[in-house]
Amino acid sequence: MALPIVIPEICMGVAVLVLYSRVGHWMRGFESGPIHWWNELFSIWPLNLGAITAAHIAFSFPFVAIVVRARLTGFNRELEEASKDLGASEWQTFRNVVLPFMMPGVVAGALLSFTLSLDDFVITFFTAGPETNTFPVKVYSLVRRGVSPDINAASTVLIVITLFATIIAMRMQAPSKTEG
Amino acid sequence: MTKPIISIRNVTKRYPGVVAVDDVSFDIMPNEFFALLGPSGCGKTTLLRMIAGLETSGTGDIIVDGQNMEGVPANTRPVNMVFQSYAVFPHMTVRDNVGYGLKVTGVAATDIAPRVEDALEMVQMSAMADRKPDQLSGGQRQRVALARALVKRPKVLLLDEPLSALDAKLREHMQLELARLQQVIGITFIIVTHDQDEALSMADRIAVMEKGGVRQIAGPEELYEKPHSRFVADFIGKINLIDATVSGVSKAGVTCVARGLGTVVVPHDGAASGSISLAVRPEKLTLSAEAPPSDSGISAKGVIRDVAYYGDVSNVFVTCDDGLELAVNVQNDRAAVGLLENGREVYASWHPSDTLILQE
Repeated sequence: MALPIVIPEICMGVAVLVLYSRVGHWMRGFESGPIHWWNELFSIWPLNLGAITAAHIAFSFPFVAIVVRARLTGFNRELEEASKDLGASEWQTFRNVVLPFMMPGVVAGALLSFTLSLDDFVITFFTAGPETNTFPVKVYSLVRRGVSPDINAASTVLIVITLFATIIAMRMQAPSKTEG
Repeated sequence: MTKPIISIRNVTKRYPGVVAVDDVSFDIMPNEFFALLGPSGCGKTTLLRMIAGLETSGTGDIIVDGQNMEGVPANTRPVNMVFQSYAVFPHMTVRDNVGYGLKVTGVAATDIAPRVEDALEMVQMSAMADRKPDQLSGGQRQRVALARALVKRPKVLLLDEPLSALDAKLREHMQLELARLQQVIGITFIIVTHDQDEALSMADRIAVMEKGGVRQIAGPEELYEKPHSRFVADFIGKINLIDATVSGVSKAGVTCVARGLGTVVVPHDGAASGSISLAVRPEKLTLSAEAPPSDSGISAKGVIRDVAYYGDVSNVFVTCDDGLELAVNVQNDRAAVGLLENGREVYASWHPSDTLILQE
């Protein structure tokens, strides 16, 4: 699970690129095929956007898992048993007892992965294509033509967003005072 | 004869390397306050959890109200449990906690509200219905856990060491409260405890467990006065155990040679042979400065080694001949003044009929 955290981003970027070039080759086979809605789908949601999303989910997933798991170590299993004992099914128990307990972890994980995803350059650079681009990659291509005030402004906004998301994420992770 | 509400038939539960519950069988009658008592690790909690359906993969049958619980999941069993940690849901108010079990089983909202109010009334928590658990004391959380289980109107209420986290004063209060509740509601309570006082004061019947097996099931008085084995005698209250060897059995009782006492005759209406233990409760012994008349009973001369003062009573340890150690409970009344001093020579005596014979 910790593999995507420790692996160098450049390696992951290359690996994802290799995977996508294979899969992409296979999927493009459909493009000229008889399935028309397939083409229409890609005009709304280009293949690259899906590719970037999948790659981002893959590298932020372990961060979320670690945060949520840390929260769950403090979970009293008797709460779960009490819920079942009172007549709740597995799903009701998860929905009403476990999920509210791990909610701070889930929110913190979401903010953390949002920040990671927003800032990521390397993996996105490898997976992005002509139709789709993320903000950092766009900034990079603009910088190559000289620093303009737009870039300064955009970078400031980016830093502010990242900073706030991180602060909120850390706040959510702080041990709560309302342990049962 | 009334039908038992719970029948436990040859129930066994193994963990890797240990037998937690070892071929246990007994019946619990409707409206009974039943206690499972034993030292930690004796399997009492495992047995309770098996009744609740939280512990599966055991063998044997658990029959609740005529229905075999084999394969019935915890959430559909007609029993409810009060957990050791209370397990009150921290993110819900008291009212929502109590109503939870009704909500998840699809009881109409219009029925839930009055039932929750009734249950809160019963445990005197109505005033705190809108509080969160972190604003409650341990005793109050316990009441919430009780109300939450009782609102489901279970056939049997299971309590897992419910009072162990409370301080001594509150524990005593809750003991009375639980006994009162049980009388009012009239359902069967099964309580798991390692505290013999708790079991003796609350339960109608007690099952003493050791190493996964039930050693004796009896009412509190019988258990205390007539334990069947050394283990039960030792576990329930304090007791003096004196090694002895049987030399003869007659109509008058068992004649035996006991360590530090010489030859004594103890009334007994069962068989006895070989090496036995004579058991006598510390409060049956009396201490005196002068030798008691020889026909008054069993007596031993010794020296006071230690006195533990408890206010109303003192526990006195007397060392007698042959290394025999006797514990004596002495009421701190006028007669005890001046007698209880370390190193003083005293006579400990008791009536032969207060002596139990425990076969090894």
